[in-house]
Amino acid sequence: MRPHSTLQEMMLSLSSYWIEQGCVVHQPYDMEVGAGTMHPETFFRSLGEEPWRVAYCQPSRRPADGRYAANPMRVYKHFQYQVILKPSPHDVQELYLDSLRAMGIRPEVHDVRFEEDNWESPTLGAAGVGWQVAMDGMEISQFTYFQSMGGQELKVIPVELTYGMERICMFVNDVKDIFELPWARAPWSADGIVTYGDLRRLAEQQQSAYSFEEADIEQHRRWFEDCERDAVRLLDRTVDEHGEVKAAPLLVPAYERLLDASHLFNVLDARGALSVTERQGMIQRIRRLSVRCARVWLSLRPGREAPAT
Amino acid sequence: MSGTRTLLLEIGCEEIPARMLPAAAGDLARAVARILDQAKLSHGEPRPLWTPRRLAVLVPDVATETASEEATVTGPPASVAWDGSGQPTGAARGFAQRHGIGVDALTKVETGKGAYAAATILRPSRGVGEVLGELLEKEVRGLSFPKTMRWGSGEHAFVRPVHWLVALAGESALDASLFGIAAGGTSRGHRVLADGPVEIPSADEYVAALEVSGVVAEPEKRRAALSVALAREAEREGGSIVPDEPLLQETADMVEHPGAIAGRFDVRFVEELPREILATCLRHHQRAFSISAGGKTLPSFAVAVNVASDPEGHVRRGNEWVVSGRLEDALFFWREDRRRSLSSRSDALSGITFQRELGTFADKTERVAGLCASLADGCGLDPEDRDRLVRAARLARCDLTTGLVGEFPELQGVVGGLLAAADGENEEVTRAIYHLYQPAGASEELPPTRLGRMLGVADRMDTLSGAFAIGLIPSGSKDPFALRRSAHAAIRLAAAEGTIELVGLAARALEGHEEGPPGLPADRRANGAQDTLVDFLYERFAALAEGEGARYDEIASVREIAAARFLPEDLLRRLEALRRFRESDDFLALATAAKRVRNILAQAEDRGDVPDTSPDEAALELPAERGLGDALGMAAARIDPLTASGDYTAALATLASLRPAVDRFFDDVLVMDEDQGRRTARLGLLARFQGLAHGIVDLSELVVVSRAAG
Repeated sequence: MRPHSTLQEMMLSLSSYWIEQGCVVHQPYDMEVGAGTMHPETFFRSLGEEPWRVAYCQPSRRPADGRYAANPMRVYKHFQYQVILKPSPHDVQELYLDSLRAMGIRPEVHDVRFEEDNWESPTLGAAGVGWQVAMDGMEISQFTYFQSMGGQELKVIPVELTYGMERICMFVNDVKDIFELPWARAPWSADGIVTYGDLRRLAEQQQSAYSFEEADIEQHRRWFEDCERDAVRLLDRTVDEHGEVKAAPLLVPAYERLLDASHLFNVLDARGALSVTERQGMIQRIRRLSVRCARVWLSLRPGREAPAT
Repeated sequence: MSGTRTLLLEIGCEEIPARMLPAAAGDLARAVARILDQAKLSHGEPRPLWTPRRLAVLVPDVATETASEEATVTGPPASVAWDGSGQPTGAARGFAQRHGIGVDALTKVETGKGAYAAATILRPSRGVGEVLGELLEKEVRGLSFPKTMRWGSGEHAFVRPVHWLVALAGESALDASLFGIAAGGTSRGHRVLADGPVEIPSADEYVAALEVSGVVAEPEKRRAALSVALAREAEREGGSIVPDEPLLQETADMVEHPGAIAGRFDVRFVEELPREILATCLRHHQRAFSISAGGKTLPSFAVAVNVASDPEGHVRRGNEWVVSGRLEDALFFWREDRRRSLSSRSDALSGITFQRELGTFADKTERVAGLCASLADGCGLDPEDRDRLVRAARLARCDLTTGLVGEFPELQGVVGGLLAAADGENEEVTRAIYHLYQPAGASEELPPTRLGRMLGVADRMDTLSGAFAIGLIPSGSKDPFALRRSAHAAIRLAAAEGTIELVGLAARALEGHEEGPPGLPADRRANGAQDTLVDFLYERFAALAEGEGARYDEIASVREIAAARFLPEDLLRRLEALRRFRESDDFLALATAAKRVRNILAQAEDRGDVPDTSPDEAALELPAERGLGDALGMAAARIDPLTASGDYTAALATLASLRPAVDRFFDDVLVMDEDQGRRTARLGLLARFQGLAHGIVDLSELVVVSRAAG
């Protein structure tokens, strides 16, 4: 098989393109997250008025989407290429279409559509307005103008472009099974390529089994409580009840405990361990942490050096 | 220079959701008309146009200039404008200067708040551009959308970011702006077919200039063209499009250039999936149209696309791929859902909340089954049908636990019916379940079977009574549980069924909530829920009757009958008979007499007189009294059976035959006689007349316009 374009080449093309547009090309966050939006370079930098441009490819874990590597479309972990442009530039739709061209897709011979799809993340206290981008009937991107983040109404509006890299690569190569995707050209191997399945199949099988069957429910509940408690403790020691900073901030560790809690919640959800009310309650608890983290970030920020994430 | 021109306004945006477009363009057209009216600029009928990337309005025959006019402007209070010796102050001079007149030209005017300095100025004629420039931004900001957004530096809010503005009067560009964007004569073409600026030479050439640039701006034309393109694709597949107007409208508003592409999928999906599921899957996920030939679904579909052609086949292949994936999912659910019987799912209903304070769907199912049983008894169903109705009620909501309904909520009911049929349930049972959610809209068809309609009434009456029992009563525009729609459906279903009586059913349904839901505090239990609920149902009945041509006073004339015995179909027949009677010669006299009778009886009641409907022979001595008494006796003997059999036209005709006797009575007899015995006997005659009329309709409620006046 001679792939049209490998997954890694497409990621590289996207990064090169967004570097040209002045983005910081960051690395994925080194923790479990459900979506690229949870990366601190998106969550925190969307707050406040400073301009910001960043791009990175974030592996995103969705335990409930795991299918033991048996489904040609759905996986426990997929790769979201994420771009934040703040404030949203006037020509962002054109920039997006050009980014497709950079990956070798000619919008001229496809039916590319911007179809209403508003986004909301109850755990992040975030909402946005925008579209899903459909190419020939297939959803390939989410295009969102954030309106709020961490429960804070945003004044300067960031736009988030999220590319489903596997989908786009399947499309470009006319491959129907995600595990057959060409990840890399490999002249040294018998097949000449390394596939997505070569790299991901085992992990998908095992992570699916863990999330659906093996994860210890009581232990995950305990871990969730522990993470939440630690996040609250760290936030409490950072600011007083009036939002005034009272000690050296430990916002980043607090936010990381939130990310932990969020992932543990996703596992419990996939495991079918949560009743409707319990599920709702946990979402609210994570959301409260998000709102507090956002407030602390904003109270640290004006006139002060932004904490590095 | 004055005259008229066509006015064009186009707001260029990023893709606006299709569902919002028609209303938004209509609102914009009205806003532009408001601007012109406010400035007293004459104009023709504004015409809204739209595509996903633009909201536009064309207004023909717009006056290009306003007439100049004199106006009086008030300034500072007189006590400030002139000093004690009557000399103008600095304030007066400043005011005069601002309006470009000499200080001596100022006058004093009396207002409600005292005397003020005033300047009479000549408002010069203004051009349409100036008017638009001044008011456009304010009007556009005032447009309402289901959801707005901000972008960039966040200063502006609109449905989507705005990119360009075209404002032309004839050929002249107007000096307006919106969200910091200056208007001009330059629009944009189709993103792919003609990307880039498009000069609009004049407002009249707007549609043509866009068409050249790949954009069909007229929504009805775009829709017609899409319909043709879809039909052509379907024909190529050997069939025709299964008509779907809402989908056609939606998809036509999702493209600027109306193209269509057909695709195919594996024939096994047609063979294995029920037609409804296949079509819903295509529609729900891909907004794809089904294609059929000779009543048979073909393994093909067609979609609207925003391109003119598919030179490399990508569009077709892509859509085929996605459609096949979706059908694969649907087939998976269909197979999974059939592994269990529908009845075995009923236990799981106790895990699905119907409404927090009204319990789960298991609770609701129990209540509806009970209502169905009493409804069956009330309507005299035979024991077999009674059992089937109750069975249908028990299974009706079980499909809420299926994967298919989880994936396609709009298939609730349909999935239940299909699964019940697959389980070998009785056909009457499966059809009742299948059509449970019909009618969803005011004009949608009713379930085709009797049991289906009865189940539908019971289900909706349970919802309504539950909501009313806990005080969730719609008011004004607030109706979060769509109770008006439920009530409307209940009325239509009951009307089609004839023998369903709603007052009794409401009482019975409310009993189901008598013990109160566990979580509801006693003070939130609504008192008098039954009266409120019956009134609410009557309002919906009134709306339905009005839709069928009944007048409001006619509807009021059956109100009392409904309060006692609410049979929608029977009420409609009474109204129909009344409508015919109203055209007859006797109507005016009889309705006038009925009003007179009502007034006399009301006065008598105030005085404490009790009508005596069976007085001694001796009490009625005048021929007119005896004549009316005899006529009433004969009429009653004929009217009672007619009313009982529902022949209200004949009943009213019989009532009309009383007219000579009634006329004579009023001519010859003074009702309020000094003698109490005579008085109550005469009142008794009137009460009998009223009772006879009220058994049909309350004629005294009808508005009577005398011939002379009318």
